[in-house]
Amino acid sequence: MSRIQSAKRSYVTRNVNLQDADTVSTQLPEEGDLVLARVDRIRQHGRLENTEGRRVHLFKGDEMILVVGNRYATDQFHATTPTELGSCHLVAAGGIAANVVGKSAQVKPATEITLIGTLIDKSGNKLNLKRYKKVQPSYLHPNADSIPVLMVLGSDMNSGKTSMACSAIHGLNRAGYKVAGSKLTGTGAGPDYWKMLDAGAYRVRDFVDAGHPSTVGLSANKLIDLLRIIKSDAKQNGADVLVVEVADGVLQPDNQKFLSDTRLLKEISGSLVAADSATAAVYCCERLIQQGIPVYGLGGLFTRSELTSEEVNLQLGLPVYKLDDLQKENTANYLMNLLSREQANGLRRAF
Amino acid sequence: MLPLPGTEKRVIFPAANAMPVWIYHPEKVVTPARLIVAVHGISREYEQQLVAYKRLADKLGCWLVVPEFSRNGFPRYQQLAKDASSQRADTELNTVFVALKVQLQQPFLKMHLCGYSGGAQFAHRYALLYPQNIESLVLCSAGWYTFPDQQTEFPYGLAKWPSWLGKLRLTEMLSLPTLVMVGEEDLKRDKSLRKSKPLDAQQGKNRVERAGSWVTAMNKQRQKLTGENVRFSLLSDVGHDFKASAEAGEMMTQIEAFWNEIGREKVCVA
Repeated sequence: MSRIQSAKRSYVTRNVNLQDADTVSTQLPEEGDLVLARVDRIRQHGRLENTEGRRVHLFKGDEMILVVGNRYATDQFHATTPTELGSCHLVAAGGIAANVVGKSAQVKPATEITLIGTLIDKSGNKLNLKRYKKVQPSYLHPNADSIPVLMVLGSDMNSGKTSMACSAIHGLNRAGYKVAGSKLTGTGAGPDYWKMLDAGAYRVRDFVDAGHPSTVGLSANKLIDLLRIIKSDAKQNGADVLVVEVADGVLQPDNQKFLSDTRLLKEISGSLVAADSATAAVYCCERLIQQGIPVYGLGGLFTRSELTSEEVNLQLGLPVYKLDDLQKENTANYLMNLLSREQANGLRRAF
Repeated sequence: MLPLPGTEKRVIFPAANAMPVWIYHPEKVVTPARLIVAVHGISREYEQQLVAYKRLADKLGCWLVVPEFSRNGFPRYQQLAKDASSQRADTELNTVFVALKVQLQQPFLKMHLCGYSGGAQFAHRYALLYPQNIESLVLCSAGWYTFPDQQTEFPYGLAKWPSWLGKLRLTEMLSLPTLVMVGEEDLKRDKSLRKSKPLDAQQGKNRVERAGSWVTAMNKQRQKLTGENVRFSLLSDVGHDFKASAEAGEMMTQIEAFWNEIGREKVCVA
């Protein structure tokens, strides 16, 4: 078995046909390139998620197939794409290799690795995720906008977005709708993808399927294009509704540009907001409403406290949903009714 | 963009685009933390509401908002929503309220909430859910009411309160300064009046009787809490007609007097 075949393969390479990899080269890495890397010192990430979703244990000296990319994670690492081979870090269990430029105090330093080389095919071309897209811009359907889109946003990383999105998916599915799920932005990692499938989404697509190891640094234009591509994919595959999770919080720089782009209003129907405190919930909601995004309800970590939920409800007068609430059929039907109406309305007028 | 002083504008907030609102910016804002919200009846006479309340907005020196609840979008806005899965009139108004709090830079903004006929139905049910948003409540000529009665089932009373509506806040609602009015000739059992034997027995046969019954029930509860009664007034020489009540009748004068009386704002009487 070749060195490439025997290396531990990471989740973000899931769409890649590894038979295309002929050898390991010394060509310099660029974002999205597949690399062979060696574990030098295990620290924060002691396990690597494989393409089936299992977190395989890592040992010093293990070789891995990773993808180079950026990471922006307020609770973990801020890291940038390496431009050279050699010392580097494993910054996400999904298999992202990057140079750490900052980290949260609540995590250990990143696991240290060495980039041995980039993977190339027989023609000497590097293997890059862009070559293995599962959703294509050319697939854009003329009626790509004709599907209700529920966007799930949050105040911060780990504010409860994925749980809200998956509960909404579960409720909509139980109510009889064919639900597509998507993690639109973030850094390639499997848990959210698998959880959407487990929640009842019949189809899940994320930015990795569009050839990005992460969406850090993508322009608002590219993020809106990405959303259109994923909508089109959902529509063409018969979905009744698309639930889209946007990673990180509303103040994340890329999110700020994305959410303030008025073209986004034509691409989505409404939103749910996850927050980790009452203040965060109110701030997020006010901000989204100012930007013209309908907020159908709020939830997330703050709902663990009845008093905090009461504060949010008193301040905003919008529904506060616990996860169980979102999984109920009547909530799902209510959300679907709003989404369908909004989608049918089409154009919104700026004021 | 909000209207300039002394002008009104129909505004569609993108985040609440199912409910356009007419917004009037008074000549001079004297009470920036207060907002008049005037809700139309089922004939959707929002233009008449706008005309009638603009004068009071100028006198009070506060912004005026007149929502348009369309027949298609909000077929039962009087009851806040048609059913659990329908679009809700209350949350749509709350979205606009949140937007205005931010745009007017008034985090403690409150409403003088006024409703006529179906609008009065909406207003008192909204007040059961969101009394924290309300400074005062003006109800005129409602066809029927939700009574503060825990033995009678919703929507006629509060028993079996539908959980999907949200938390019932009766105690706080009972504490709101409230004015109820009805034309003394509003006695007809017209086609727009809900009629049934149980309803007639509980509330009365016409809008005058029903307003009186609700005020009595409210005052019985309020006495335990505030000791202050709901103000109740019969408007002379008018029937069920907003325009007539506003133009020739005493309705707007009574509202102005009520706001003066509750004394939370100083109305500049010309």
